[in-house]
Amino acid sequence: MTVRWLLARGGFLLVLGGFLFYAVFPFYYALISSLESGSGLFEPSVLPRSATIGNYAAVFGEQPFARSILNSFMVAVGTVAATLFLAALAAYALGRIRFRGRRGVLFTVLTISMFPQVAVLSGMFELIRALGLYDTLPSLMLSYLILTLPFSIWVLTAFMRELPDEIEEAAILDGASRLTVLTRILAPLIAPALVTTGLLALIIAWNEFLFALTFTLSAEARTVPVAIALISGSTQHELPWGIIMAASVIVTVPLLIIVLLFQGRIVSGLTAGAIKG
Amino acid sequence: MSSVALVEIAKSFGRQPALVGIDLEIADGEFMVVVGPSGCGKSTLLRIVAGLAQPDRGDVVIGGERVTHWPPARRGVAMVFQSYALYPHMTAFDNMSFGLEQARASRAEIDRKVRWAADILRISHLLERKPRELSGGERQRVAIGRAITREPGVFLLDEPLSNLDAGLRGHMRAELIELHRRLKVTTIHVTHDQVEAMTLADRIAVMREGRIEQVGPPLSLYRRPVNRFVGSFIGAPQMNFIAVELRGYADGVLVVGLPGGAELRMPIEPEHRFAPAASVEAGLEIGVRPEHLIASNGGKADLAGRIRLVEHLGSATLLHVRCPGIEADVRIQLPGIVSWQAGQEIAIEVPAAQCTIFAAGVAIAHGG
Repeated sequence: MTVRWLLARGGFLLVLGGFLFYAVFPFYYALISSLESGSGLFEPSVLPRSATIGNYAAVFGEQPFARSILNSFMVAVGTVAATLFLAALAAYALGRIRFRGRRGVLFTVLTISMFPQVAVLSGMFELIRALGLYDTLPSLMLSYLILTLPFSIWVLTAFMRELPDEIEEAAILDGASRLTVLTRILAPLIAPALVTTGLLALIIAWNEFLFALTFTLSAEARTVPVAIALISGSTQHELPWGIIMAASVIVTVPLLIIVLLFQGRIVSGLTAGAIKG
Repeated sequence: MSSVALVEIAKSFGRQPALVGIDLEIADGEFMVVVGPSGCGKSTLLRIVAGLAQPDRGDVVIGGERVTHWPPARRGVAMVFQSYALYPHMTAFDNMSFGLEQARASRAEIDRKVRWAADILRISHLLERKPRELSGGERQRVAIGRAITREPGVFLLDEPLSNLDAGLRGHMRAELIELHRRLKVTTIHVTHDQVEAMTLADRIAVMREGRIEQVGPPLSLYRRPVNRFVGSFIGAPQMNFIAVELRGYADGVLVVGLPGGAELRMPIEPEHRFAPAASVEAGLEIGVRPEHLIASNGGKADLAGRIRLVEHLGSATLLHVRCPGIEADVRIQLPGIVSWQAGQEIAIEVPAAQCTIFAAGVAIAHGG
């Protein structure tokens, strides 16, 4: 028993270790590279030999990177807010109200999420130009809804369906309107799902590159992923890895913090006690 | 305070009829229990009164107003759900105040009414707790509290006690009676438990397959069931049914012969007096409750058989007796603890005054 147990345990730890290395090492390497200066970058090592913040200063010094971060932040927050609002309304209808064509709507939503981004790029470009949104932040919020809404609607619809009918009926008997039922009763009950989908939408909006590259032109509307891609060295043949790594670390850390903060809120079982238990 | 009238209510789900022409009147302040086996349509009936479901035909009248198409909140009804359906993210206080808040009551009024209801239900110390921190019985009280804070004209209870354990159920039953006595609100209580029906109701409506079979005070249903279904559904242990032969049928008196040969004479109910004998003869049986049969000690013996099983309940003893010519065991309930044992021969007296005679399932003669 002990040998088999040791083998199983060891194997498990090995797989876990490999997975952890695969997931975390690139970020660790970016972190130590960002602290190197000059040619130190090109001598690979696991521990940083020098620790300078020169690269970090350069990120903000050589381009309006703070502006890009602010843009990314506003786009992400706007996208998440719009996504949750629209998806919650849609999920209420799709999850709790019986109507003809409900399945059809759900599958259309699912189909949309299968289009590759490139396929909708030109059409979206025309739409954004027609709306006069080219090179503005709302253009990104609008286009990101294509990426965030389908899965949000599906996840929230699934959660809405799980809630017992009687809770909603009790609220209706209490005189609550549909909107009150949604905001006061159902939304708090699916809060874990709202947090989860909100986080995913946030990550998508924060990382998105293709739409951001296509629909913005000036530094005033540029978001972080594009800004990083456009970081260039002093000559055509030089790629400033140190600065790029520093920029990557800067934009990854807030995301990490947010995810870790909200992790505790992604709890299920909030409905415990609603019905007999 | 409101009376409730249901007029020819019909409802089906797809092709499945759930309710077939329900007529029922409930007086102001009355405690009506609607009882029936699961799937008989009783919960659908309650949801139609509440306004959570729409009837296909017929009308709901509450307090003299035709409310069939009114939204639930306007009807002045409050409901306690089987699962309680408390709002899990709100405290007991918020659960109880939500309805008042929706009705835009002032904060002082909300506070006063919630505390009044909490006081009646003795849950004042639990108001700050969330549903998951409450026991089943406490949740039940909060659910009832939520219903009474709005001072409804009609109180709807959908199997409110079925999720409680037996001891607590008996306790809550007594509390519901007490609550009704105190508030005098018209109440419709739906249950599948005939004991609940017998103990709570001013009147009982027995339902089966979307129809009301009989409406009346508990003891009248117990003594004079209109058909075999009501006879078997009301009362525990269940009524005995024994197939009998027609011996005589004249002058409003029915004479039937038990399998052992003994005869019973009973007056026929007026509305069945002129039915042709042939229609009466089909499927003739007597119904008699186990507690009305008498273990005969050398006296009159209408039935005889061998005891197959003895169930000691403490306060009573239930004998299962195998009688020749009778398909099912005849059950006799004797008071207290008795010395009868399985395997013994027993003679049974059938008091005609406590019997009902059914022809094809319909009661045509009552002994009492």
